[in-house]
Amino acid sequence: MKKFVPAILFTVFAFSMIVVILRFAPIGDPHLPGYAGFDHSENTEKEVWEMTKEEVVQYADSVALHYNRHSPGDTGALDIITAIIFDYRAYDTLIEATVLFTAMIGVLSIIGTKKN
Amino acid sequence: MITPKKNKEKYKTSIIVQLVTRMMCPFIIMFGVFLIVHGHLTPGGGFQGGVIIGASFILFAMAFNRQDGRDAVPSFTLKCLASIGVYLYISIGLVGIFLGYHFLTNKAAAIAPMGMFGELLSGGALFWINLGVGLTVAVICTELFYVFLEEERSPYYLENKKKLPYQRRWLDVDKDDSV
Repeated sequence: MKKFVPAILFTVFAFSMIVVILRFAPIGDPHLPGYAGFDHSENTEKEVWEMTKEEVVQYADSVALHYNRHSPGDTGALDIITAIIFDYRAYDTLIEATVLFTAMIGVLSIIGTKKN
Repeated sequence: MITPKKNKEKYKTSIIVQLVTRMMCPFIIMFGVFLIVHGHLTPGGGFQGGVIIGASFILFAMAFNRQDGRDAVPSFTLKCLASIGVYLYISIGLVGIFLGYHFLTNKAAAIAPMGMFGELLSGGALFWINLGVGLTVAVICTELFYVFLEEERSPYYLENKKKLPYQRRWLDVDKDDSV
C-alpha cells in the first residue's frame, strides 16, 4: 500500500503534466498574447485579419505594448523596467529580496561570528 | 565612514591606495544612494545601488584592514538594517491589504503620494520599495563579505590551520589579529 499510493499519485500528476505540455501553444505563434494580442474592447467589429495595417498597429495590445503604453499611467514611474519589476512583478522582487536575506541567515547560521 | 586611526603602522597598502579610498568612498556611497532614490526615474534601482554601496564598504576594508571596516559597520547593526529593509517592503504590501486592496497595490491604494510624473517623489510606493531593497542589498553585501573574512577566526580554522591546503594571505588577516 505504501508503494501503491505514490505510484498512483505519480501517474496522475505525470499524465496531467504531459497532457498540458502536449496542449501548449506552438512556439513563435504571432497570435499569442505575449507577442501580439489585440484589444477587442475598443474594436469589436473587425477581426484581426480584416484590419488594415494601420488599424493593426493602433489596436495591437500585446504584453510588451501594454507595458510601453500604460506603465506611466499605471505606476507613475518614468522607467519602465522599474515599473515592471517593482509594480507589475512586485511579488517576484519581494521574494528576490527575501532570498538574499535567507542567504545571509544561512551563512550566519553555518559560519557564525563572534560577537562583534 | 569612520576615519581609520588604529593600527596605522600595520596597513600593508600604500598611502596612495589609502588616500584615494578615503577620498572616493563618500562619492561611491553618494552614487549608490542616487541610484536607489532615482530608481523609478533612471535605469538602476535598489539592487544596483545597494551593490554599489556594499562595494564601497568592501573597498574600505581592502584598503585599510578588516577591523577598521568592521568598526564602521558592526554586525548587529547590519543584521538589524537588513531586517528593516525586508520588513519595509513587506509592510508596504500589507498597507495595501489594510486599505482594502490587494497585496502590494500601488496606485489604487495611494499608499504614498503619486506626485508629479518624473519628479523625485513620484511613483507612490515604488520610491519606498526601492529604499527597502537598496538597504537590504547593501547591508547583505557588506555583511556576507565580513562574515566570510571572519570565517578564518572560527574554531575549525584555528585547529586545522596547518592542514589546510592553502594559505590565505589577503588582507593581513593572520598578522593583524592574534588568532
